[in-house]
Amino acid sequence: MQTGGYDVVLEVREELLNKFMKIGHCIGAFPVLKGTYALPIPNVPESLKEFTVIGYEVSLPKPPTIEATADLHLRMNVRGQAKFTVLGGIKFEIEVEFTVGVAPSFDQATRRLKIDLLTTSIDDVELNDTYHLPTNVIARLNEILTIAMHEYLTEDLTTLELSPVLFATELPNMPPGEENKLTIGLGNFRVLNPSTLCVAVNLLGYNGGDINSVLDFTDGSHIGIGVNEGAMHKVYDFWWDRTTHPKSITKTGSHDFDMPSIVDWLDELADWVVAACTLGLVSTEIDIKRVWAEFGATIRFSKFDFDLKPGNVVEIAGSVSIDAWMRALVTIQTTTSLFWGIWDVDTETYTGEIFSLSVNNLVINIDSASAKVYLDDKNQLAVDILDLDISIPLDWEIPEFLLNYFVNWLIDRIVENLPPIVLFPAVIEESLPGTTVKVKAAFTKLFIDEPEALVAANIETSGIGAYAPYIANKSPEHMEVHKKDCEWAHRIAIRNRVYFCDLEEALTAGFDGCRYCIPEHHHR
Amino acid sequence: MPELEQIRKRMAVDPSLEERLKEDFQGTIKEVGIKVDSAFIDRVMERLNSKVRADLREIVKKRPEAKNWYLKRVLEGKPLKIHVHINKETGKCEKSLGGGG
Repeated sequence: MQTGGYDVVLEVREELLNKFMKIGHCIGAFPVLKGTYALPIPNVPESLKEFTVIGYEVSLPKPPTIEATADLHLRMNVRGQAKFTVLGGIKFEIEVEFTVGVAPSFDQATRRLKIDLLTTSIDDVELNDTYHLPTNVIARLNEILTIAMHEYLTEDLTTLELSPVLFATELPNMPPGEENKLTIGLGNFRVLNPSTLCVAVNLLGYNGGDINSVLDFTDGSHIGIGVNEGAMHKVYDFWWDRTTHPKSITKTGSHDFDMPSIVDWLDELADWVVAACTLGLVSTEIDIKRVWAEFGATIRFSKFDFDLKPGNVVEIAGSVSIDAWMRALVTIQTTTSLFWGIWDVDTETYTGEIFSLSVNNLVINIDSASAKVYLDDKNQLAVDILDLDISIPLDWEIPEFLLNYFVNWLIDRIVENLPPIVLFPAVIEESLPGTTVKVKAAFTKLFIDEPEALVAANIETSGIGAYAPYIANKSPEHMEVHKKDCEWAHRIAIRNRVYFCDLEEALTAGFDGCRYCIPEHHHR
Repeated sequence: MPELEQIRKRMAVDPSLEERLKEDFQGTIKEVGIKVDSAFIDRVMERLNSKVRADLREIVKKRPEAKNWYLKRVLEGKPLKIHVHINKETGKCEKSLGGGG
C-alpha cells in the first residue's frame, strides 16, 4: 500500500511548487507591506514631525524557491526588498537574500506541527541596487543571526497545534451548510525524496496512517494523488446520505409500432381484438390500422456497493426498485358494429386497450457492473460505468415486440439516470482561487493498486498573460520585450505575444529590452 | 363462461342469431339475457388473458429464439438476465442476453 494507511496522499514535485511560487509572484499573490512608522520621540515640533516618520514598503522582488534536500529537509530561498523613506524624503532601498533550512514535523497524536529551523543564512545584502555588503560583513551578520535564532526561536514559537479539521470541501449535488461539507484534516507530511514532498490527509475525523510508509508514486509527473478505497467509501456514503441528487425519478413514454416490424403479430392481435369485441360469438374481418403503447415507470435507486479491482476496474452491485405500467392500444377498422361496451367507437374506427399491465415495487438487481475509474472534467475521481448485468423479474405475458420495447426502454431510463459515483472530490482546482489563471491536469497515470487508486498528472496553467508584467514579441524581426503598459506592447500581434513574469527570464530567452520602456536592457 | 356457451348452443339451432349479433351486437346480447356489468367485463378480460397466454406459448415455440428471448424467459417464470454495455461513443446502451439460471 503506497498511501501508508491514510485516506488520501497528495505528492507534489519540487518543480511544481516552484512553478506555483513563480505564478503566485506574477499574479501578485505575495503581499506588499506598505506603511509608515512614526518614531516615538516626544515633544517634536510640528514643523519637524515629518522627519520622525519612516515610510516603508516591503516586497519580494523575485519568487521564493523551495528545495527539498538530500537529508529530506526543506530549504527556502527568499529575496526581500525593503524601500525606506526617511528624514522627510530621502529614499533608500535594501535587498536581502537569505536561505532558511527547516525540518517541519507533525505529531499525529497531539496534532502539533513543529517547524525546526536548521539553518538560516543571509546570502546577500544590496543597497540601492548597487552596493553589496562585503562577504566578511555578511559572515558576521550570519553569526549574529544564528545566535538570535537560537535565543529567540523557542518551542512555543516554532510549534503550533493544528485543528483536526484543516478545511471542508464541497461535494457535487449537496445541500448548503457546513455540515454537508467533507471535513479534511492533516494526517502528516514528509519530504519523500529530494524532489518530492507528500501531504497525507484524513477524512471525517479519521486519524490513522503512517507517514514513513508512504511511497513516491508520481512516476516523474508533477503530482501524485493516492486515494484509499476506505476513503472512497466514506466519501460515497457521506454523499449518498446527504445528496440532493434525485434518488427516485418518474419517466413516461409512448411508442407507435411500425406495422411491417410487427407483421408476425398482426393475425394474433386481430384474433384477440375480435375475441374481445365479439365475445368469441361472431367471426368477422378487421384491419389493424395502428398499434402503440403508453408506458411509464418510477425508478428508485439504492446505494451501490463497489469494490476496486486491478486494471482500473470497479465492481459495482446494487438494486433499483420500480413501479411500472403499460397500456397497449390498437386501432382497428371494420364494417361490422362490434362495440359492446369496452371500446371507443368512431363510426367505423375502433380504438381499444388490448393490454394493461402494472407492477409495484419490482426489485431489479444489478448483479454486477464494471466501471472504470476516471477523473472527470471537474477533476473529481469518478466512476464511469461500462457494463452491467441486470436481472429483471418481470412477469408480463405480452407479445415480444411490446415486452422487448418496454424492457429496453426501462433499462435505458435506469442507466441514464444512475446517480453518479464520485469517489473523491476535486483535489485540483480548475482555476487559481481569485484569479482567471486556469489549471489543467494532464493525467499521466491512473492505476488501481488494490485497495487504493493512484493518479499522477502534470499540471499546466494558462491565462497568466492577464497578469504578466512583461510581453515579448517573438516575431524573428523583433524579438523585443516590453513592459505590459508600454504602447509598443499593445501593437504586438496576438500570435506573436509571449508573456513573462520575470524580466530576467525574457532576457535569458533572447529578447532585447524595448528602447522606450526597458532602455537599460536595449542593446540592438 | 356458461352464458356464452348458452348463446353458442342457441346459434347452432338458430343461424339468424349470428346475423342479429352482427347487426346489433349490444342489443342482441342484452336480448339473450347477458348483463354487461363490471363483473362481466372482468370475466371477459380474464378469459381473453387466458387465451393470450395460451397463444403466446404456442407462438414462442415457432419463433426464432433470439427474437423472443425476453418472452421465453417470462413464460418460463425466470427473471430477464440482460447484459448492458454502455457505448461511450454513441452514449447508447447495447443490450445482449445475459446468463441463464
